[in-house]
Amino acid sequence: MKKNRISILFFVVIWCCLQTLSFAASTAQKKIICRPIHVAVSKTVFYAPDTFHDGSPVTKDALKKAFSTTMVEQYAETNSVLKYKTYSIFSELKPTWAGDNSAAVTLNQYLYKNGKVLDSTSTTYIFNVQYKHDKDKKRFEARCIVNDMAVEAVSTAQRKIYDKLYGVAFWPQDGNRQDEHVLQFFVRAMQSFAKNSVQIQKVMNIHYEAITALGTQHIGQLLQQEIPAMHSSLRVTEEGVYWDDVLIVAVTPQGSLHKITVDFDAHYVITPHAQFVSKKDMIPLEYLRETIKCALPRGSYIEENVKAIHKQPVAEYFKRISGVTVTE
Amino acid sequence: MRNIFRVLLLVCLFLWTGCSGVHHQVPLETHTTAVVSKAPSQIFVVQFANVFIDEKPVTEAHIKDAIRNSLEAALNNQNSVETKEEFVVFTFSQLEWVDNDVLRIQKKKSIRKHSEEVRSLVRTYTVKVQINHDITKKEYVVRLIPNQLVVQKIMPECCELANSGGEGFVGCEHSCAWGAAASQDIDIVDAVSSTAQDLVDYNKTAIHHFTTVKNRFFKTLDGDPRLIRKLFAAYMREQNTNAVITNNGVFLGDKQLVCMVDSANAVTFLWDVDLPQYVGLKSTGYGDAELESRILSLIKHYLTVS
Repeated sequence: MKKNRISILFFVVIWCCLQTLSFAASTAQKKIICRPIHVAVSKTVFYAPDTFHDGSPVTKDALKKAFSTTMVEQYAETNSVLKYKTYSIFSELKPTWAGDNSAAVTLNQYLYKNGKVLDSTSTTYIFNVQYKHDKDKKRFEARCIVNDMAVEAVSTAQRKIYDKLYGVAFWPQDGNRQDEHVLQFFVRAMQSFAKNSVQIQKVMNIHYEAITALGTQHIGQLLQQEIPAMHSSLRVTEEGVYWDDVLIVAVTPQGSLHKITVDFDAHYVITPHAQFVSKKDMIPLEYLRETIKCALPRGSYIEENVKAIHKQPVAEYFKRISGVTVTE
Repeated sequence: MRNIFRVLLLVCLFLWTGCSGVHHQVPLETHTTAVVSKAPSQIFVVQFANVFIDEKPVTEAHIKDAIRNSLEAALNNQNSVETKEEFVVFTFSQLEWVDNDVLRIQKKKSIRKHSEEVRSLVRTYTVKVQINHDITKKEYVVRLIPNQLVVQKIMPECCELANSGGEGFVGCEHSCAWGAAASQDIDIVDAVSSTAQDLVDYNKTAIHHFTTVKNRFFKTLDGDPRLIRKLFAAYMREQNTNAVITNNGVFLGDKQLVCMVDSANAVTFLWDVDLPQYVGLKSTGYGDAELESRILSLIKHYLTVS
């Protein structure tokens, strides 16, 4: 009996050890390398106007965000999965800021085979950004210098895959091409930020109220009229119109009448040159505009008018059309 | 004594649950549904002989390996990356035998933000593989049947998959586009179709067994070693292979193919390389070692002619 217990205890202890060991093994070991970058021009100046379309001044935060967006967008344009036999390399860019003047852009690369990550590397480029406000020309200058050393984190037991077809190393990827790809902006000395990347967001509310004598069924029909034919998450119920889970048009009974309330926060993006509604809010906003402009005025009748436009009785209808002779 | 053991046992159990709790993280809320594939229902049938070109019998294991490898390459080709505003979408797939005759394909769309996955969609497809051996006709009949039922898992539950158009979600908090479901379904059937074609493509050795071929050669060229090396390097450069020529010999990647030894008035070229040979149904090939074999035959040609 005692021996049994001891052996059980022994097994449990071993099990615990194995569990902790496997946990330790799952976090792969990385080593950090510093290497010089391979791009000739390593500084550039970005220009941006100093006021937004609505007159508010461009801030440092907006410029910081614009720098990140510009880097990421430019990389994404030419980003694709590299493939060799059953291996694929996925990559992505991650910008981070430390204070106002130093930014880091990290390129993460993952080696995939059959849906699993076999290896990964990350390369960090470090930037120094100085801002200057040119009041005469009404513009901001962001002077940007790349540190000529890049920091690379690679796994200690790095895999090596050689692409026989092209005679180059498939994994790890060639540093030169990587640097060129990430630092595309730094081949020229002067640049402007990517289109619409200098921006602020603003929320504007749409509010509209109408009182109608129409019944809920007719109100439903009115609200249904401008629903786009394409797939959208707008749906009409007795309570009003839902956009996903948000009630954007509410129908509330007021005595014998109904009150239709439109209440919607539209998110706008404002750049120095223009102002437009964010992509996400485009469909509900368009719907609400059309509904307020066209559908709802038709329904804002008082009680007597509603009675007058009720359908004619069938007998009356026949009596009216019987006067018309139908030629065969 | 008994009490002490009890306490120890309890402590150990506590440790064990603690340890396992650390790395088995609580899964996020998931949302699983089964849908019918938008791709037309198709069955791919291929027939081929039951012996290799060298009269060795083809076994089911050979066929299954061929199907898996070919399908893995076809699916790898469909991997893609997209960027939507601040999100990066990785699309990749995983292939596994789940049963003796069922292959499971998990196609994953992983939506990432700041280098971390924020949500994902996994569509699981299955393909049934029927292998019939007709001994009287001396042939195999292989049927690849993609299942019409697709299991779809969204993590965490938030958005529904858009079935028409490619616009994705309109009201979704993050405007994340999964892409059209129909195109994914068709991609899978395409991959299965190309696998079926690979099996009977006579130029490829998809169904194969290995043999190794010994490639040995030895030749001494008389003359000034520096001149011989210079001429040889010029010839190799002309051939446009990816071989690298150094003082020690010829390399491909990090593998040495040819050894070059200088003597007073001669250079000796020698090699002894084992090349894997793929023996297929209608042809043989070097498969992975295609380039090595080409380089060696080029060098051999150069040495025998000069």
